[in-house]
Parts: sequence; C-alpha cells; structure tokens
Amino acid sequence: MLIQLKNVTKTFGTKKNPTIALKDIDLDIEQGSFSLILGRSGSGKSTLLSLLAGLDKVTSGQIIINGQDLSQAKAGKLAQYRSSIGIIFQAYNLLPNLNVVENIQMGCWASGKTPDDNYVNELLTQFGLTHRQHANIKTLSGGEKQRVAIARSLIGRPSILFCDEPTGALDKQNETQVTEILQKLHQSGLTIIMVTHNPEFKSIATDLITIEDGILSTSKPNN
Amino acid sequence: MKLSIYTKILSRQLITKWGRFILASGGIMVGIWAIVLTTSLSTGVLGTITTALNSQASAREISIFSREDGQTSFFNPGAGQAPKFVALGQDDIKKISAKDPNIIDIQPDLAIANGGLKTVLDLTGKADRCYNINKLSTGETDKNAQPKPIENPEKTKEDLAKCTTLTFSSFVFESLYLSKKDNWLGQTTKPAQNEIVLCFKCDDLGQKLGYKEPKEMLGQSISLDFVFAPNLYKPGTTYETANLTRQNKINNTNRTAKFKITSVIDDRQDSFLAGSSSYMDIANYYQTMRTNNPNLNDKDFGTLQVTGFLKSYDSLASSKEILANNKLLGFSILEGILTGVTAFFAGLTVVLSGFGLIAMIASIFGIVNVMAISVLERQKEIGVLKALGARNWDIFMIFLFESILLGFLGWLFGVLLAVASGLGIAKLFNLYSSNNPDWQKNLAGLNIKEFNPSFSWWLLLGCLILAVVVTAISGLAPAIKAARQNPVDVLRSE
Repeated sequence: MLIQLKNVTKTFGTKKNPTIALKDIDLDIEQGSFSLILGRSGSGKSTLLSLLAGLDKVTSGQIIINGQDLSQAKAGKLAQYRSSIGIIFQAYNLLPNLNVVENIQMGCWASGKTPDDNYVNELLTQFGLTHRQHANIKTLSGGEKQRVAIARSLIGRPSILFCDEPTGALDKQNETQVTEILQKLHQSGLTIIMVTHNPEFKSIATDLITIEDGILSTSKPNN
Repeated sequence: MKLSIYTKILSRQLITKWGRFILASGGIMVGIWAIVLTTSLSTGVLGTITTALNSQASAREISIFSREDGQTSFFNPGAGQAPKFVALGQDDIKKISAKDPNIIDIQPDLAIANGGLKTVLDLTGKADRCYNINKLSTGETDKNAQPKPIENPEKTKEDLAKCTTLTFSSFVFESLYLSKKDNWLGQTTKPAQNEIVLCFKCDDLGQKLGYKEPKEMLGQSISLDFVFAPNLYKPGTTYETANLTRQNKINNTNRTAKFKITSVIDDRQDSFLAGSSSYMDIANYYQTMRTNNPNLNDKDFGTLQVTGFLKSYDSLASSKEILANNKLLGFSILEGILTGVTAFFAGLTVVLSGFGLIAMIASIFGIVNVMAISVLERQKEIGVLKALGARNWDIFMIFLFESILLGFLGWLFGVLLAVASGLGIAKLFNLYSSNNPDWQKNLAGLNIKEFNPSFSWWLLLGCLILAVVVTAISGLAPAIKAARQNPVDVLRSE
C-alpha cells in the first residue's frame, strides 16, 4: 500500500474549544490510483490533502506513506518528503517575480536540486509553453498558469501528485485541457490524489473518497 | 536551496521593490555616510599634518640622553622628580655615531639649561663693550651674575647702538641646510672654526649690518662677543636637571672672535612658520671656554643632550631601539607631537562617527518594520516554497539575505555619498587655499600641495561589516518568523 491513514484526527482552534475537521479516519490508497476526494465545502477535503501532502500535521493518528510515518516526521523530514511529491493548487501559486521556465525549475530549486534541462524542455513542449518560457507570469492566461503549475509539480519526477481543485479557476476549454493532461499522467503510472468539485473527473478516477462532517467513506466510481 | 537561488529570488525582489529597498536602507546610508566622511576627513587632515611635519628637516632630529638609572624613557623618574642625566662626551658621541647607521649627523646640543651660548655681534667692528647688551636686551635671569657697573653711560649707549644679540640655531647643520637649501647661498658644507652661517632677515641682521641683498654678506667678516659660555658638564658625571643654572660667565676680556660668513640664508620670503636662525660650529663654543681655562681639552667638554640627524623619519623607531640597547634615551619632539595629534583626531573621529552609529542603530527599527512587512506580503511565496520542499532554513536565509542586502545598499550609497561630499569639501578647501596667497605660502612651506580625504580600504571594509551586522541583526526576528510559518496557514491567506 502506498498510503495508509490510521485513526487520523485533525482539529483546529484551541484545546478547550476545538473544531474537528477529520475524525478517526482510516484510509488506504494504492500506488497508481487516481483518487478523488469529494465533499461539500468545509467538509475537510483540503485538510485531508494538506495532511497527505505533508503541509500540515495530524492532531492524532498516523499517516504512513511509502513506509514513512509523516505524523512523527520533523520539519526537515517533512520538507524532504514534500520535495518528493508534486502539488497543484487551485490558485496556481506561481511566484510572480520569476518567469515561466524559472517557475518550473523552482520545483527542483526549492529543495536544492538541479533541474534536468532536457526534462524542462520536454515539459515546456508537452504543455505548449515553449514559446512562453521567458514570459512574465502576470501575462499568462489561467490555463497557461495551471499548465506551468503542473509542469512545476512534475519537474522533480514525483511519485504522487496532489491536486487541490486544479480546474476550479479555469474556463471550460482550459478545464478540458488540464483534465486531459492529468488523465495522461495517470495513465503513465503516476498516483494522483485530487480534491475536486468537478464531477467530470469521476470518469477517469479509480477511487472516490467522500468526506461528510469529518467522516470518510470510500467507493469506486460507476464507470 | 543553493546560494544561487537565494540570489535569484533576492535580485527579483530588488527589481520589483527597489524603491522600498532604497528607502529602508536610508538610515544605514546616513550612518555610513557620517562615519566614512568624518573618518576620511580626519584621517586626511592627520595624513596631511603628518606629511607636513615629516617633510620638515627637524622631523629627522633625535635628541639623545643618558639617564643615570639607565631608563630609556622620560617617564617614571619618580613622583615630583626630574630625571638625572649623565653628561655625554666626545667619545660617547663617536660611539653613538658608529653604532647607529641611521644617524648621518650628530652634535652636542646646548639647549638644556644654558640656552645656548649668548653672543653679541659687533655691528661695526669697533664697539668696545657689546658684552653689556645682553643684560639690557635679553632679560637675563642669572641671579648670581653681578653686572659690572657702567662706568661711562654715554659711551655705553653709543656702543650699544652698534651691537645686537645673535640667535643661533639649535638644529644640527644637516637639518638646517636641508630645511633652507632652496634659499641657501654660498658654501653648503658645515662651517669650520671661525666660519659662520648667517641668515638675512633673522635678528634683522642684513639691515643692521647695512646689506641690501643677502649675497652681499658672503665672504664678509664679523666680530662676535661671547657673553656666556655653556655649562661645563664633565663627561660621565650625573647632573640633576632641576638644579641646573646658567653659569660660566666669561670674564676673560679676550672673548671676541672674528668669523667669516661662508653661507647666507635668504629668509626674506620665509613664512611665520618657517623662522630661521644662524649657525656656528660647536668648536667655537669650546674655544670660548678655553679662553677661561686654557688647561681644558676636547675630552673635558660634555653635554646633557646630543642631537642626531636621521636618514629619514621612518628610521626613528630603529634608532630608538639601537639607543635603548645601549641604555640611551632617544626622543623625538615630532613623534611626541604626532602622538598627541593622532590621539586628538582619533578622539574626534570616534565622537563624530558616534553620530553615524546612532543613526544606524535608529535605522534598526525601520529595517525590522520593513522586513516584517516583507514577510507579511510574501506569505504565499513562503508557503509555495515550503510546499515545493524548501526547508525552514532556506526561508530564514532568503529573508536574512534580504535584510543584509539593505545593509549592503545602505553601505554602497553611504560610501558613494561620503566620497562625493569628502572630495567636494577637499575641492572647496583647495580652491580657497589656491586663491589665498597667504595660505598658499604657508602650506607650501609645510610641503602641503593640497588636502585630500583618505578613504582607506579598512575603513570601507569595516563599515561594510558594520552595516551587514546591523542589518543582519535587524532582519533576524522577521526571518525567524518567516521560517516558522506553517505552509497551510500561509497558503490559505488570500
């Protein structure tokens, strides 16, 4: 099993007055799966993704990824873990002071690695960004920004790709484009875990994880 | 994260927020400007003074003493006590000269206690009693001296009109010649016995002797009436400097000697800072002492102070060491002056630089503020970098480098401003002095061509380190805060 969650609870607020986001969650995610995390706004989807991506720590319980217990990991180990995964945000979260190619390279630079120039060019070509590689981030369309974000998440050749509403801010045309890219990535063997409201992803997902009031249930899509 | 990436992020931040960087580094800039300007100006002034003093021939003179207790310093003779000196004789002088190759000329100095030999010049060659002028014109302080009653006051008055006192240089010959060589007429070597070097304007000699031009004096003869001989210090004997009194009045009537003027100093253009005086060899003094006591020979003549003339001022330390090894005390008046002047300017620099330091310390608050705003503004960037695998240390370094960059910019602009204003001040001074003939004359006399501030590398490097340290300390708290940010929290902050 690639990812295992055991009795994971996450609360916010003070000890006296806690808000429970996730309660005693158990979850297994297999390598090569395309898991969708579904649920209403405020149900705890993004919290779960943050925990899985090593951006936040559990209040109790265990998250074991590739045999490594994230709940016990210190800051340095968590940083190392984050450098081994890819992550895409709804709001792209590109660095505005860097151009397209630099933003992609930052996926490696941030963790002290040197990006493979050939792979950078390959990603630029693959996502149709070659002609815009030196462009200012502010001049890109929403679709282009998300493609840059996807390329950045892939530059370090991650084992898992976490996506937080990747098409949430895109128009229909760009949404389709990004969906196709993610589908291809999954087909190439990448494990994808995605928080989304977009039902179209159900058609390409292998697992559905639904959260209601902090309680989790898993199912298979009907396709 | 690699250093090149910190630099890349920093350079992009600088490009987008350059206005803020300049404003935030203002306090550091003012501080560095004040420190560099005041230090460079005072170092420049000190350098100019040092050059001026060093260029004077007198800077190469070293006074040599032998203390009874063998100490090689003027200090510590005991509370309220004057040092006791052992008189140095001809043999001692020869030994010093042989042991110290830095000393190129050496002679006994008669300045201590006897004030040199008082001589009176017979202006006409016919005056009988120039001797008495000393009592009338020099304010003689010898309480034991019993002036002869003036037998014929009218004759005395007449004689006195024909006489004048003559001041002799305390320089060694080489020193006098080098300091006056541009206006030196006649023989350039040391005058022999019964030869003399006279100046033209000093003691109003030219005018009193009736010459219109200095060159007219060359080759002429004059009569000198020796009034007092120097104290007779016996070589190897200890003398207490506190109890020395001028004695040895010459009672011998045969005290007049004739001298040939072999050299003349044309001192008509001398500034008030470059006064001149006449020169006569020490052998003439000894000769006058023998007139009192014919049994004396050269080995009986001692002196409490010997003056040596060095190859250069730079060899002073080496000479002092050689003298100390021989239990002799070497003393340079110039060194004493320079030590005092250096201490004064060092104090002045510290006080003035203190204002700059205060400005820098005040700027810490501004930098902390600016850095705190920067951390707040770039929360998302912090979150993204952390999400991509950056360590807390990387985030800390990004913000620490940013605050250090503020220090570097403050230093750079402060130094540029200080160099511009320092050179501007120097230019104004040089412009003023070049348009002021009196200043020009006096400065030329001191071998000062122009004034320049001194921007030494150690000053600039020291200020750079100071600026970097101050800003690094200022940026510490915001950088730690940035490093501790939880990526989820900062990524949520829209």
